Formats: sequence, structure tokens, C-alpha cells
Amino acid sequence: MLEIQDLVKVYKNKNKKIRAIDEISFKIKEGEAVGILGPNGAGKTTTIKCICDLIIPTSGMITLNGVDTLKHPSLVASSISAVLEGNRNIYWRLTTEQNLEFFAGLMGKKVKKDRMDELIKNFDLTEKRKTQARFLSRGMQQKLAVACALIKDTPILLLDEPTLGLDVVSSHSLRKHIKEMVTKSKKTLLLSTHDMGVVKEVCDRVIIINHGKIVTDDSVNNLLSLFRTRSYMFLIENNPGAIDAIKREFGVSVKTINKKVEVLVNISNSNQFYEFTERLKSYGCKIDSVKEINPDFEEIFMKLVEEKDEQ
Amino acid sequence: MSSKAVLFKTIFMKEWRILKSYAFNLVMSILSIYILFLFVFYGMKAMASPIMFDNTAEGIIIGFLLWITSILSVETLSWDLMEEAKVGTLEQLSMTPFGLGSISFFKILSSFVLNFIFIIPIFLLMMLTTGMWLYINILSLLPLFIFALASVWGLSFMLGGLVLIFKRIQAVFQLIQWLLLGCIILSASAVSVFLPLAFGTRLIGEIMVSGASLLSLSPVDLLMLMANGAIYLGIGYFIFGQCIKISKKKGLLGQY
Repeated sequence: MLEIQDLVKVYKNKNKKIRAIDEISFKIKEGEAVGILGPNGAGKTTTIKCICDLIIPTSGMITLNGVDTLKHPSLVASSISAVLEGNRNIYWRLTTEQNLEFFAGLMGKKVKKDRMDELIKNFDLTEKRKTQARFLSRGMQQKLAVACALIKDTPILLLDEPTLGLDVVSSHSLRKHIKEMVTKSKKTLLLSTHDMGVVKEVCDRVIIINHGKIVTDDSVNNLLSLFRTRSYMFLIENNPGAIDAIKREFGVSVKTINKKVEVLVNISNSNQFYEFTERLKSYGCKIDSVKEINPDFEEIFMKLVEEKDEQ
Repeated sequence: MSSKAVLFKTIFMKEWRILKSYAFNLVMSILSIYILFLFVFYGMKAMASPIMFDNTAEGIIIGFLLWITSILSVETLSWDLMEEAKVGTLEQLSMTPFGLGSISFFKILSSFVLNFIFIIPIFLLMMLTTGMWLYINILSLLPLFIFALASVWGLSFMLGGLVLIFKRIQAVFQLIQWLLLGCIILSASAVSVFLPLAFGTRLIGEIMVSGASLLSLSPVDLLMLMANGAIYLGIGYFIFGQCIKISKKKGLLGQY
């Protein structure tokens, strides 16, 4: 188990003190996939670098299976691998194979050919195994960077913005590979990103950070259900008198499209849903279709961050 | 193969592959070292009286050889760390069970082996051009080179430490180059035992001019050379470790 307790990092810049992270605490169980979300400057990267022993925190404690990592940095290196800045984590003048050999060698271990072949195949790099990294596309470089972290064969993997700067196709492909890797190898994953889709697809739990503090720490499903607004979009025939009455009564938002009207309504329980449809019928509105609107993860994130800011 | 041996091989192979991928730069470096030697040698020949020049000609070859080797040794780690910080791999190097100190030490050793391989043909070319053939007893010279350069590796660690904090320190390199030249010039003086490189230069000169073996040197001299190297290397390594700590405290490791 990886445990972070009251972690604080203060940077001193001339006369100014900047609290990059402010008493952050969380735990990650073995095999858990956790996402850290937050706007720029929220403290995501600093948190990850503190865990990797690349930044010494001002105060607080990081323990790995009960052992203080700040006092035993070699434990961190043998248990944690990380991709910190995507394609900047590999040697552009080395080939795919040579990069993998190098990163395995950094752990004092000779590369296992089977493992290397497996990673090259899993990350769709078979045709590029003898190609220097500088000739790979950005998406491939990032895949190679993740593969280089995986070849170290550590139980914990930290990924800092793995899909940053990638086009939609490459981002989707890398996301798929990370998900497969997490499912198959059961590694503990801590992933920081701006990309809500990555967290939603890959992680079990999400920690939202803003201004160096944890805004929320919950499972992805809980967060989604917490903010499940149960919105419904009704498409009905235009009936101005009835629409005005419904607007007054239910506070719905309305959009007219040709002879039809889209009515968006938030409903908290099933009784309200039936009550609303009955009322539409009583006004003589013919319902063409009803669609459930699911909450967007990005909206949830923004709402949480804004709420915390207001507090 | 032990884990440290695997680590050394890994670092050596990487250094070699990257060096090879810049083949043109490598050839030009060898050529410019040779051309610089020609300027130094024939420049001094033109300026000094024939008798004086004959007495110092061998010293010029040995001094130049050691000066170039020491410059390469002292600067390689710093350039490497600057490059690693620039391309973004420095943090990855820090995340190994062996630590950045061991990685850097193996980087220095790898560079020493590679520099040695490329210096030998330059040295032969230097002797061929000048017609002055010095004794090359590899078994005697290699340990002396290692002990003499150990002090320079200490300086290299100090500069490497500065790179981790300040990132660009090219201006310091120029100062170090002249400092090393000064040490070589002072190799015959009494203070040479306290200076980096100087005492080693004196002993290497003795072997190369007389053709004697390592065993012919005084054990006290050899011990002093080893102590000199160990002290500079130890201090350099300690300072490097402190610089890593400062860099991690200030969050500078990943910056360039």
C-alpha cells in the first residue's frame, strides 16, 4: 500500500513562498488504478514527483508498505517506475529495442527477450523495433515511454499526463493500451491527467486536486452517480401556451427546432418523471421522444473545483 | 553478471551508441584535437630556441595528451547531465535503485574507456608527425592514468553537481581548462602532490620518457598519487550528493 500523509511542498521564490501542495493525504491499495485530476498548477506533478523521490517534500510522509520512502529512496526506485513527460522520457537516438534494453539495464537487470517482445507487440511497435525513437510519431514515442517504464517490472506505475499533446486517435490508442496493461498485470497505477476520458476509462478512483489541496477523493462511479442529475430531453410538438405553462411550473429549459421543441428537465425521482409526462399530456403535448442525459465527467470536475473555490 | 556490471554495460552501450550516431561530430573532434596539437607543438618549436625545445618536446606531447584527456574527463559528465536534463531523461536516471551518483560514476568510467580508445590513435598520429616516439607500456600507464584522472573525476563530479542546480555552466569549463593546464605546468613543482592531475602527470612523464615500468616508481609516490586521486574523488562525490539533495529540495531536477 502506498500512503501519503499530510504532504506539503513549499517553494521559496525570492521573498515569495508558494505552497505547491498543501497537506495532501491519500492511500492507494495494491492493484488499484487511481487518477489525479486538476487544473494547471494544481499540484499533480509535484505530488507525483514527491512520490518518485525526485522532489523532497517540505513536510509530510510517504510510506510504501509501511516503509518511509524518504528515508529509503532505493525502495522507491525498485518499486516505482514513472513516465513523467511523455515522449521526453526516452532517448531519441536509440532504437525502440535499445531504449527498452537501456531502461531494463538501469534496474541492474538484463532485458528478458520474451518480455521485450511482449511489450513491443502489445504497444503495436513491432514494425518499429529497429527504428530510432526520433523517427517515431509522437503517439508511438509515448507508447515507447510507457513500455520503457513497464520493462522495469515494478509493482507501481506512475503516469504524468500520458496523453498530453496527442491527437484523438493516438490518445485513444494509448488509453486502450494503458487499460489493457492495468487489467492484465494488476499493477498499482497513479495517473495524473487533464483528460477526463482517460480517468473515466482507466481508473477505479479519482482524486481531484486544486490549489494544492484535495477537493475530492472518491470512486469514479460514485462521483458520476453523485452528480447524476437525471436530466431528460423531451422532444414535443410546439404548443406555445403549454410550453410557457410548463416552463413556469417545472423551470425547464426549452429550445425550438422547426415545429418541434426540445425540453430539458431535471428530475430527482421516478414519480416526478411520471408527473411531468402526465402534465405534458394534460396540456395536449404530443411526446415524440424521451432521451436520458448522462452527466459529463468534465462538468463534474469543473463543478467540484468551482464549489471548492467558492468555499 | 552482477547488477552493477549490468548497469555499467548498459550505460557504456548507451554512451557508445549515442556517440556512434553522431559519427561526423566524433571524426571532427578527433581532427580538431590533432590540428590543435600541431599548432601547439610547431608554435612552440618556432618560438623556443632549438636546445630548449629539444629538452621540452617530449613534455609537450605528454602534457598535451594529458590536458586533452583531462578536459574530456572533466567536462563529459557535465555535458551529459546538461543534455539529459534538456531531453528530459535526467529524472529517469535518478529513478534507479543505484542512484544518480552511481549512474554518473559509470558514465565517467564509460567516457574514460571511450576517450582512451579514441585518444590512442591521436597519440600515435602525434608521435608519427613529430617523429618523437615515446614508450607506451600500457600495463604501467593505464593504472597511472586512472589514478591521475581520479582527481579530475572528482572535479567532474563537482561540476556535475553545479549542472544539477544551475543547468548551464559552460563559462566554468573555460576556467577549468586553464586550471588544468596550470596543474600540468606545475607538475614538476613541490606543490604538485596537492593539485589535481599534476603529480600524476609527473609520474606518467617519467614512465613515458624513460620506458621504465610502474614497479620502478617509488611506492611512496604511488601512494601519494592514489591518496591525491581518492581525496579529490571523495570530495567531488560528496559535493555531487549534496547538489542532488539541493536540486531535489528546490525541485530543479527535471528543469532545464
